[in-house]
Amino acid sequence: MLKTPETNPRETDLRVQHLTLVWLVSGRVHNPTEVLQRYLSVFRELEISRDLLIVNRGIADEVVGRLAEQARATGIPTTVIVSKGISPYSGALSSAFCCAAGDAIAILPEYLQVDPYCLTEMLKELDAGADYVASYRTGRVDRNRDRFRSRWFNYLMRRVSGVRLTDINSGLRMLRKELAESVPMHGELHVYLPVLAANQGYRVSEVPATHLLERSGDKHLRLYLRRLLDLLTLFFLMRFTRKPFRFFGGVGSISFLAGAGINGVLAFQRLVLDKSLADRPALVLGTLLMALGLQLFSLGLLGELIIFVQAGGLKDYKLHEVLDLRPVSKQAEVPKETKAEC
Amino acid sequence: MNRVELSVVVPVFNESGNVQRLFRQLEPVLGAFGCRYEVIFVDDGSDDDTWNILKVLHHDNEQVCAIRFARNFGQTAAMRAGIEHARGSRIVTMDGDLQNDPRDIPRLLEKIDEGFDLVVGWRRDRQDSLWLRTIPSRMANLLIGWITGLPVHDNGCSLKAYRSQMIKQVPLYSEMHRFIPALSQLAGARVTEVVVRHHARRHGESKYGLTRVGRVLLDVFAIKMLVSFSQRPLQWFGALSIPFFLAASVTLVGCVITCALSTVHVPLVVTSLAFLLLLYIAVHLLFVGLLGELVIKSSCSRVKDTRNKSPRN
Repeated sequence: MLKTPETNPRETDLRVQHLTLVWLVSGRVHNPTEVLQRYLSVFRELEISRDLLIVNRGIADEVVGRLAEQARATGIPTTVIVSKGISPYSGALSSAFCCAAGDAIAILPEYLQVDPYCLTEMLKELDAGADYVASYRTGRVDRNRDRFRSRWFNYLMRRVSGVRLTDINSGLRMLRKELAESVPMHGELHVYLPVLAANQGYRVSEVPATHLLERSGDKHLRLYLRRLLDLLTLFFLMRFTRKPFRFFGGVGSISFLAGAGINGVLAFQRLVLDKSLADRPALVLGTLLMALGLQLFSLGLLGELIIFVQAGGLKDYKLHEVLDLRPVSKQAEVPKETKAEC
Repeated sequence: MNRVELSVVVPVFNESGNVQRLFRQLEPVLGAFGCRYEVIFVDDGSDDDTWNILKVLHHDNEQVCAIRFARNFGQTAAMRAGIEHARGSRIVTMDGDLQNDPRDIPRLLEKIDEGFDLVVGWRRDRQDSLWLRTIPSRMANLLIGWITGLPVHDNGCSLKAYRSQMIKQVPLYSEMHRFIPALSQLAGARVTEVVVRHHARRHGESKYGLTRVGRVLLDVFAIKMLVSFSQRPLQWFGALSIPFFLAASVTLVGCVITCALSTVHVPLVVTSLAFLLLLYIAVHLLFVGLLGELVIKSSCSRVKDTRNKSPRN
């Protein structure tokens, strides 16, 4: 892995050469042509070679064909891929990443969530060295209730992940292809792509974007509950993937010790103070806590076993740069700087 | 002279004041071996000038190789990266903070030449604060030695020498570098110790604290399980469950006999709760052990690889 460094020196590689715009359409918008029209007007202003990748997630092929024609008419090369059926958003996104031709990818929300004009700003950020650029919604137009929920959620996300992002739910994002290929996603973790990326050592930044529209009924309470569970997944995976026993064992010891403490007090009262145990519910609590502690302990050990047998394949670190030994026979040669990725 | 025979791996994190000096100390020692060597510095995401100094070092010296992490990933990851990159048949790891003395390296390598696969440095006269570093570390080492069955005086000493074939088989992840001696048992390594010198820090700050003791306690338990029974989890969990089964049976039998034979009042609530709890834990452990077997079976080829390859073939 290490000994075959890719030859793309960081310094010259920073500027984006070609941008692929990925638009996932699932038919939940009634005016896709208008949305595309708006997007296209911005694409034309981008001073860079670009192409459009439309991912069909369950909309009639003729409609997508018409959309592609509309895009091609403005001189933007357009490809259509199909990712229908039960494939979740992350899956569709992953196949889009595979097909994308550019060294940078912009993900566009299906509806006009924010003003796409900020794409130019995002591109500047990438050129300046960022690997992932998020957008955050300014001048929000959604309901107070949703805004409040969103603010809390983002606060929690920042606390858990330690990644300073204002608005993780904003749909417009731009990232390098290299990042897209090396950060594994599953389930609904695509929302947390910037967090996972930052955790691997990629540089993440954000730009403001004017909020235009929020699809009503999209930000259900249920969605936030699901996201909260994802946040727990993220917390666990980020901190304890390689040492599950520290988490399970830590929580397990606390539970076991608490249970042992309760039962100790009860035993003392029974033996010394001669207080009957028969009608003490605390006994059940103490016993359960002890059982829970031992259970967590054993599950932690199991987790440790799983990680151990997979350890060879786990990516533990990301290399930024390798200055390798010079070959002996060519001592006069100037060292070649290479960048490798493990 | 073309093949690298000796690799020295030095993880560094914010050691701009020490890197140059360390290399100057290493040069005469390694040069005396008369073989081609390499010094691999692994910059673990430093935010000071370390990387620039390493660049200069690399430019000026053909023996220097430098690896830079995208961010701070910890000492174990840095060691793993260095070891994976190393080309020598013998590998030495050491700290970048000048607390290890390069003059000890020849003595470590002598032991490797005698046939040992892993030589661990033992800082017998530690130059660290007694209460914060030395005593916790001594307790941790006693515990690690007692539980893993490999009594090494100083697991935490970074100055170690390895036979390359052996160490490249040992899975290094998380904060496992402290348990390299215990883990190397998996690869069937012969382990020995050599007393090494230890200097007080001259530049920079120590990057460890007292908080690691609790984590070491948890880690050592996990390592014990991995080292002794990573192939047969059911046996291990089964062994853990036996005392609970025994205790449950004793409680049950004792309760029944007391009830039957005497008129003494038996606290039924307490005994039944104790019996149920013990039985529950025992059964649970057995089933977790079964699940462990499933985990091993689903990826047994990899574990077999680590265990069965002889370190010197």
